[in-house]
Amino acid sequence: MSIKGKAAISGFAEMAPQKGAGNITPLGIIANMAREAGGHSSITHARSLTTSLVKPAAEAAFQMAAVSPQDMDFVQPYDCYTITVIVTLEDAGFCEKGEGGRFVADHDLSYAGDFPCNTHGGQLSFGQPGLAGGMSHVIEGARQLMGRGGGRQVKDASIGYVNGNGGIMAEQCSLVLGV
Amino acid sequence: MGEYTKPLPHPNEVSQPFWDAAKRHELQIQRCHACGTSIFYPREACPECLAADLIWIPVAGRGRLYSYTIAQAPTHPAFADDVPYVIAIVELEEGPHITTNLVGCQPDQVTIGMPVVASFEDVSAEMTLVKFRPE
Repeated sequence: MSIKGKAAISGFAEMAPQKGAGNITPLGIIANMAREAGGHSSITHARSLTTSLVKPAAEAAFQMAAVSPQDMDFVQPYDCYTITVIVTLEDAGFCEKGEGGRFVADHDLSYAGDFPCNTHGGQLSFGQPGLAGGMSHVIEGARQLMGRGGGRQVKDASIGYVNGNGGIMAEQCSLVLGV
Repeated sequence: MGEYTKPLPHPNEVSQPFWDAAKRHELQIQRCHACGTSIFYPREACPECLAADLIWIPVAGRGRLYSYTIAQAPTHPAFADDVPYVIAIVELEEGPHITTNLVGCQPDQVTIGMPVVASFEDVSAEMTLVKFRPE
């Protein structure tokens, strides 16, 4: 089952300039979103343990945005476990299936590196705060696009990939955010 | 039959036909009457098309080992004497995956993709568990 949509994110109150409510500026961030849901709860019953629903979700989101994975300035993948990041990068098309481990070892995943990944540290860094965990990746993507990354700003970031996971790899939501 | 001290399943109205069939040493899964999808674990609605028109069908209980892990430490005191034992995911010929134990096979002889067949273990007067063994 899939859901697709496009949205213009017009403002995050928490990020708005602190000069008063009247000064909030629309961000002009365009979000292409695609979601795929499987029929399983336990991952045991997923059709595949090795290829996740990130694949159709990411393919659809990239197609809607008319861009490719290689166009991304950063990625913010849901990271409940390290393997989740690697499977997500493989299935979203950043590297070949089975090459994710080598890929993250061969790239600099820091904000200043050649493959900025979870520039806010991700949930592997700060914990997994329930539903807020997935939203943290969206917020970080928006911050980077707004140039509000502070000391972790990705240089010239104009487009990025965000992925959210639900259940035990039971549903996946891919976002392409751009300004 | 000695007293069985391990945790037992709790059948409900949805899963009862599965356990009733197991008691007869027969594996049954559901099939969606609307779209034909074969379904395991027991559900109230088809995970593919959401139709509630599900029927129970007997299957041969054949499949292949899709994935496994070997428990070297028991996850419950009652399993202490069983280690090492194999926790397995079997892909049935009909498609669905089933979580089970692989029995009748030394852990170091287990290989992904090996053909397996259902094996029924009567653990109490009321309950029979479905495990799998090499075919």
